[in-house]
Amino acid sequence: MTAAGDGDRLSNLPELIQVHILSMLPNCKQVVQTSVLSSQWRSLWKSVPASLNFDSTDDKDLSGFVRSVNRELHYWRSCEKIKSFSVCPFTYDGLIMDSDLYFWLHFATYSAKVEEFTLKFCDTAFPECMYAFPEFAYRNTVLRNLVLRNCELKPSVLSLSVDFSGLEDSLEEECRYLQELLRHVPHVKNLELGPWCIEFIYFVGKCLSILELNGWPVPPSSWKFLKLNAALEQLDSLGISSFLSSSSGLETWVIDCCDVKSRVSFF
Amino acid sequence: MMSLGKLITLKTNDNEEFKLDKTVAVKLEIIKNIVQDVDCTSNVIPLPNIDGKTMTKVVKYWKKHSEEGVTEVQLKNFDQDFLKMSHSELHDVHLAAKYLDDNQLKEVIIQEFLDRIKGKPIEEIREVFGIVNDYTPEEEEEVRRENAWAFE
Repeated sequence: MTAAGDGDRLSNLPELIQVHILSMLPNCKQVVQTSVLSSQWRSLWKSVPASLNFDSTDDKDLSGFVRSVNRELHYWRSCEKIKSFSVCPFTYDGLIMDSDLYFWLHFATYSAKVEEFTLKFCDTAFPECMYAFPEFAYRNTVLRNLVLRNCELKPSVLSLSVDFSGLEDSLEEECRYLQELLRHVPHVKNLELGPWCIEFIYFVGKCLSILELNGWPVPPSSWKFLKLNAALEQLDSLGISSFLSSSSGLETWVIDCCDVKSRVSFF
Repeated sequence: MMSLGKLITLKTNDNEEFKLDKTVAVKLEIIKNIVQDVDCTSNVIPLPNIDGKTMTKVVKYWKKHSEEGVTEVQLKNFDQDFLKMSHSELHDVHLAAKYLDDNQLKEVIIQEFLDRIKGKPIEEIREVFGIVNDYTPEEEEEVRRENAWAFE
């Protein structure tokens, strides 16, 4: 080891270490800025695993937010590895075009092949319309961590409408729907769903007795963590336990009820 | 086998010798391997890649971190003080930690590197790390233009 000298210190660090240090920078734009350091650094940022976070803090300029996300994603396409992509617009109600959302999902699923994807509409009020999260975006096998809020998540093979007049039939259909959903995401290790993401759970909690759900043949999964943010006031431990017994790998189960009167004492 | 005596001597490339308690030294993979593999009657382990100045720092770190009854707070304060070194010294310690396969020390150094570049303007990062800017003004301007979106 020689004494100090005039060397290019950080550039002397092996490339792996450089990438490692850059990947820990909290601001991913700063990683790109290092391209100006010297010619050796010009393209290094492209091999740094990026975590992209877009939060809409200002609900007034939603279209401006969408534009800036779209523009930045365009540039991130030259990055070789995008580890996670998180986008949190304020609300879905009419102000965001489905084509923009489709572009984001397409980017996450096909261009970037992210392992962690978050789509949260931050609006806490009961949404007037929900974004129907398309199936293609959660059926890919690269995805490991999916977080949704105020999105409707349902496999397209089943009807979206639920008729509660014939309880028996709809229950069966809903069970099929949930099974279908769970079957499609067995590779997801961490699934977090915000309020109203699974309409089924929501309506069951409101309208049906949980005892009728006892004995669901939920497909075995490798999940370790499942969190449902939903109004589950009438759920009781029987239904939960039947679910748990078929998900032996599950280590953490969180139900975050949005209704303060909800009963969660058994947790 | 080097079983006699409690002390191990580490000898740097500029012939500085460090006597270490064996219990401290064998915590390190590389030392452990040498101790086990080499029939070394002199109990001296040569470190051809490390100089005395750097090794002094590394040994200081090891001794503090293997001190009996040392508290978390004390270690935190020690680390803070320990890391107050020039960028090139930090770099040397990193290389030494790497050679000695000391993961804990490596991580501490990497974190310090990160703290030194986090949120800093380009010019400052260059200055901090002594990176030689080999772009012509035109080239640098071109790179800035190319990635203008990241400088907004």
